[in-house]
Amino acid sequence: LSPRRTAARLALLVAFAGLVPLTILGGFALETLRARTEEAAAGSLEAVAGQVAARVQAFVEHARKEVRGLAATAALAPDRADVRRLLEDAELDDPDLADATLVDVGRPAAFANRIEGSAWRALEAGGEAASSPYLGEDQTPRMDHCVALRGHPGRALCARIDLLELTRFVQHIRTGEGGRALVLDGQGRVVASGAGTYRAAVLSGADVPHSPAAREMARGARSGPRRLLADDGAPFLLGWARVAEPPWTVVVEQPEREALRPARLARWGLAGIAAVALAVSLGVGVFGSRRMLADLAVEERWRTAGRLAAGVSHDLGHRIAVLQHTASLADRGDASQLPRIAANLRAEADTLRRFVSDFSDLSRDLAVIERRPVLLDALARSVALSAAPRAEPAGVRVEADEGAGAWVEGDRHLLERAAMNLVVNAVEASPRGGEVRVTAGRDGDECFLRVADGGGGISPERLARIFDAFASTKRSGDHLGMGLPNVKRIAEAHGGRVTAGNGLQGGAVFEIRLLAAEPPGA
Amino acid sequence: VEPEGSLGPRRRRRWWPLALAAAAVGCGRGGPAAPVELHVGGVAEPEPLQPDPTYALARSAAGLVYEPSCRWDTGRGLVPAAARTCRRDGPGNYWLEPDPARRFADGSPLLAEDLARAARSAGLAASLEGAGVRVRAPGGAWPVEALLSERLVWRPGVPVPLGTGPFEPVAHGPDRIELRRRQAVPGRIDRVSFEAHSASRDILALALRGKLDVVVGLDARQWEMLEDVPDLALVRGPSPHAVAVVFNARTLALEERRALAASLPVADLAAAYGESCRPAGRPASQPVPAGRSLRVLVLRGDPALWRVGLALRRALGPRGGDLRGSLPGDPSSWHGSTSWDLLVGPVIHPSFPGTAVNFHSGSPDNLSGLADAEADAALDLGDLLAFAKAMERDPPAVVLCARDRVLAVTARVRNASPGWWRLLDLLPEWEVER
Repeated sequence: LSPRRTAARLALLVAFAGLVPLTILGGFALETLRARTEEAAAGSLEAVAGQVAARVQAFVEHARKEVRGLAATAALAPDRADVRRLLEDAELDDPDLADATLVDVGRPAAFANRIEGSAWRALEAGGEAASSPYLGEDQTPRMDHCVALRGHPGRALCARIDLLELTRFVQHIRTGEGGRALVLDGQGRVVASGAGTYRAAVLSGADVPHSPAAREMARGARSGPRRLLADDGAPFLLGWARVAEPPWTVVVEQPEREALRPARLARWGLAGIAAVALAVSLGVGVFGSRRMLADLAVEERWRTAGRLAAGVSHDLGHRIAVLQHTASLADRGDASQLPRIAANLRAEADTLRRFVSDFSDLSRDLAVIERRPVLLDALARSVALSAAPRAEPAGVRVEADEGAGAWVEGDRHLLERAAMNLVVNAVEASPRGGEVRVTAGRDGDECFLRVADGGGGISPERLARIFDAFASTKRSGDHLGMGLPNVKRIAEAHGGRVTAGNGLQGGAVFEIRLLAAEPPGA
Repeated sequence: VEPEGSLGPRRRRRWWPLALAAAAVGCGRGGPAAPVELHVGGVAEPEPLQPDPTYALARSAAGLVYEPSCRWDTGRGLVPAAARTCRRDGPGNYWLEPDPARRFADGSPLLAEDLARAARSAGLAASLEGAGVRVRAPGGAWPVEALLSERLVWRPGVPVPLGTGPFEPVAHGPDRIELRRRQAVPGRIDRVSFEAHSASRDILALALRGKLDVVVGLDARQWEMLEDVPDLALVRGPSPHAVAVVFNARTLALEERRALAASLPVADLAAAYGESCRPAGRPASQPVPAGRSLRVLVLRGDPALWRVGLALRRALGPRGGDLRGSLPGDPSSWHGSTSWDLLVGPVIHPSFPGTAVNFHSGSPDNLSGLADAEADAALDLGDLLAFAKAMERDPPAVVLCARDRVLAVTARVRNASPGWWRLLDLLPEWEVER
């Protein structure tokens, strides 16, 4: 991972770690807000419906009182010639009354068609009778009302109550921008509608979506549904109220989209704020992480340089001590010591060459490697052969297992150096008479090169840091502690990995695992 | 009689979604726009297209196919329509010159003879003079101004007479008339179809279902049903009609008519009619004179007139007598009758020469039966000031208020307004959102 991507990942991790609980909390808060807003909106609609119902009832009651008043006046002298004029003038005084007429209850003429038979019986008993709302010739709603004349059995005063003013009132009710009111009679027919879409039902008498609930309310239900889909599928919030007499229902509705606009605005607002907060936290996080990682990298470089310097000075100091000891042997001028001096110098030269070679590997840019097909079997055999001269003096055998056909793609030179590193370590770890086995094989999509020795294995505490630089336990000899880190770098540079562990027999087992490749020409 | 009515405040048009949609469609399409068609519905008797129709809907259609020679303008008098020149050379004397650019639907040019034919069909004397036509009033019910603005110019044609108006007929049955614009104008209406319905219920139902673009012919109370209907706006404007109390000159002497005219509370009576009538506003200057009871007749057809009748009877006080309505479709209940003293009904407003149809002694629709030589002369000459003076001296009627006329028009039309004389005279100029 590059420092930039690492910084981005870190920032994302931190941002989402904070955002997820905030989102859950915000979602809960928003849902609560939505529910409360819906409840408040429905409450408001219900309050408006209640006011409309009171007004409707007052209107009808006022008109009926007028009819009763006319009936009382007419009852004083129903046969006088000026009664007709009195009734006609009532129409002028109260625009909501029309066609006030004295009728014989047995022969009610035009009013009989609108008032049900049972209501007529109430009239015969000296009471009142009323029709359901209906449309007049001019297609405006009205209802008939008759009042028995006191002291004149069999006679009554009937009048038409013009509901146009009521219709006008209902049509002008607004709740918000799209909220309207409807008045429905006991049969669920629309008497007046503020919503133009339902006004055709006033003419046709057809049901609207509110009709079933209105019928239920006329039978005593306290309220209707709080939410309803209009004919076009749009959801509406509703407030219901019942008119005591006549048994009509008032419903005030408002598009849900409009009624819940505050909650929706809050949701979008919070979502916007969260998005901005996320963007800001990501930006700040990425910026801060990159700076922190850069500081860490500098610190790590210094630490690595210090560790290198310590290792190098320690190892070079040891080498210098050996060379000084060899020089002191040479100073004696003892010819018998010459072979020993020569052996010492060769050994130190080899050690320093390896020292330089390891440093060279460490400084090599492994990002660019030349990949070619490599047969791990052949590599294992080659490494076993190369290591034999070094193993024989220690009394250790190096054996290679062949025939697996494990092909990978990689830099043969680097892979060989990594394998050799493992084999040399294994030889040094093995007791005299022991055996180091180099095995190449394929395991699913991976190929491996396994080096197993017959030594005492690796302690658990060392396993954890075995691939760290300068972590070798053998650094007092010719070991710098840079071999295994180099093996790891080489394996990872090839897209693979290296593992370390202990075998069933107790010895250490190292495996370089790389992605398998097809044999050339396959 | 043109359809009229009253109405509530003009509905707010939600034009911006349409404008956005139109802009989006306009930006998205490179081809020619589809023709704009309006469906007009009204309560009217079925009537085929002809230059001299009787009922409102066919009159509106005829006004789009045919043009009058000259048009009455309330501020300027007669102004050219099909004619290029309408020159007043004296009382009842006009010289008309045909507009050479005017063409009939078959492409033939408008000639002086065509103007003369239209004038003669209106009962005017017309003779070719120079490049135009000399038109004179022979004396009669109609003044030249009213006749020229009412009578449409036509030329015999098949299947219907040809006109010079902006539209031509495509179909012309009695129930349905379809017109198309002769020359397309961007942003204007291309086609109009007229449907006559006998019941206002049908019209309202169609309008509420969005099946009509223009609704005409409803009465004042019914318009309220169309308020706040999506995509339909109520528009209103002045009309040449007024509500008046007409005195029966056969039963009321001159002095009594004068006294009654001065005693009627015009504003109160106008208020009884409703909001759709602009009151003349003259207060009563004296009490109603004593005398016999006066019989009031109300012309049926408009429920608001009945309330005016009630208010009139009350205003007459002890003299307020029998109140009754005329029998529907029976002119004999009022025409030439002595069975009533005061009549409440619609008249042509005295500010328009066409008022002669109601008040000229020679008119078959002379309501009052008054035969005043000075008033007749003033009407014959189109001298409305002289007629007003004659009315004051010998009043045949008291005008209560000027009535508005109303249309319901689709909100797609941006500048809809009713015509002053015919309802849809201004339709060719309406601008439409596509």
